[in-house]
Amino acid sequence: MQSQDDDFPYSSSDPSLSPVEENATNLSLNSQQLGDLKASMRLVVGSSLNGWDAYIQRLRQLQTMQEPLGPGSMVLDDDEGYRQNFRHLLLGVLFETPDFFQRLLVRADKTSSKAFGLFSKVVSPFTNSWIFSPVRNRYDYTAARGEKVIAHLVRKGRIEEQTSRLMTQQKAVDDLINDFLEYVVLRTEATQIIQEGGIGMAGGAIDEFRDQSASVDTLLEQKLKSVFQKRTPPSPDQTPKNLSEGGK
Amino acid sequence: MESTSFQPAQSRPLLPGIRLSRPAGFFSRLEAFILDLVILSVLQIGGAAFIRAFLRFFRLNSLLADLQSTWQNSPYYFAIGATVITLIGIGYYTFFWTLLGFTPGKAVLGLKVVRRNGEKVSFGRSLLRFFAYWISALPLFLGFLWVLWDPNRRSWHDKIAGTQVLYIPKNLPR
Repeated sequence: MQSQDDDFPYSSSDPSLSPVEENATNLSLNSQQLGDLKASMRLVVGSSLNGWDAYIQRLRQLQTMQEPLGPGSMVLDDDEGYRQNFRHLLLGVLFETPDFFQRLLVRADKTSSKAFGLFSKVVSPFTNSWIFSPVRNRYDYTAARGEKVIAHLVRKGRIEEQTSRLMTQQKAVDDLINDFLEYVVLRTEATQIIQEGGIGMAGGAIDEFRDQSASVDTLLEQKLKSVFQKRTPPSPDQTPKNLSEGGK
Repeated sequence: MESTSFQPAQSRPLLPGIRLSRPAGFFSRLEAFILDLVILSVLQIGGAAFIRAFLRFFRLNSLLADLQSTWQNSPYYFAIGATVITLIGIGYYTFFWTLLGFTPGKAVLGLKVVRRNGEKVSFGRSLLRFFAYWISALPLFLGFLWVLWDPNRRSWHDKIAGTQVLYIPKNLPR
């Protein structure tokens, strides 16, 4: 896979593609971490794609199994209550929406093509003139570069999709997951570590929260006491010991 | 209202596994109270949504609509609603105070409601404490604020019900 990337003209060292170079040193991953990250991404992408394919396949199977309903086989009751009527209206809107958007998209596509054609025709004398040639050259260069980047990304995506699909289809992944689950279920130490880890983290946060609340309790009372002490002088029989009993 | 200072009881048996700790302060108790209110609200909203969805699922919309129209036109609409909400509140607080000694909100803050002698709160005392909340709330929540300057950090409802809210010690199971 690396060899196919070699012909890509803009590597990650290209300054134009890495404007935050000074931060990259702090955030950079080593090759092992990068590999792990990519593997995780492939696992997620592969699982999603394969899952979606399986879902679509089953959906189509269900549709083929369903017997087509003729107009006479349905009993449509037009004399229904307004609540039923409203429910059916919503359902109608729901099922009409994809058709509506499909028609809208086709129309938008046609309109935009026409508009672009018209616009190109109108501005072509200007864009083809010698005045515009430096800009045109720059535009052509940028467009070519953009096309290359897009072509690279498309190819990369195509390769990664295949890799991800293969990865999740491989039995090795199933075995790995099964092994892990088996390990977690059978090994009590592993279960304990997972449980303790979760509880410990939550417990730590809660303990801190409680401690802070208790500190605020004391602080509030101290503030209140200081306010009262300033305003009302203590009576002669009130010793400091009696005053300090409050916070116990 | 009791005026004796808080003394951990030595002669009476305490709850198993619970050692008397310091009385809880105002801020912790306020946080626990707010948490409980949030939980109660979520429970009530969730419960209402569940009942509504349940009725809709079984095509009982008309029943729901009838109930709503009957209720809304009823002069007792507010009274019925308030009674239902109060009953849910009573159930929530008395259930947790009696059974565990703490509501979920108090559990998060590590607080526990006990009797003055450290014993568990009975159902009757829980009920009394719940209604004493209203007495504490009536004079602009003065009964709740009383915790701030009471030497034993006791609110009016604590004094009425003969209870005390304590921090549960960290080293004990919560």
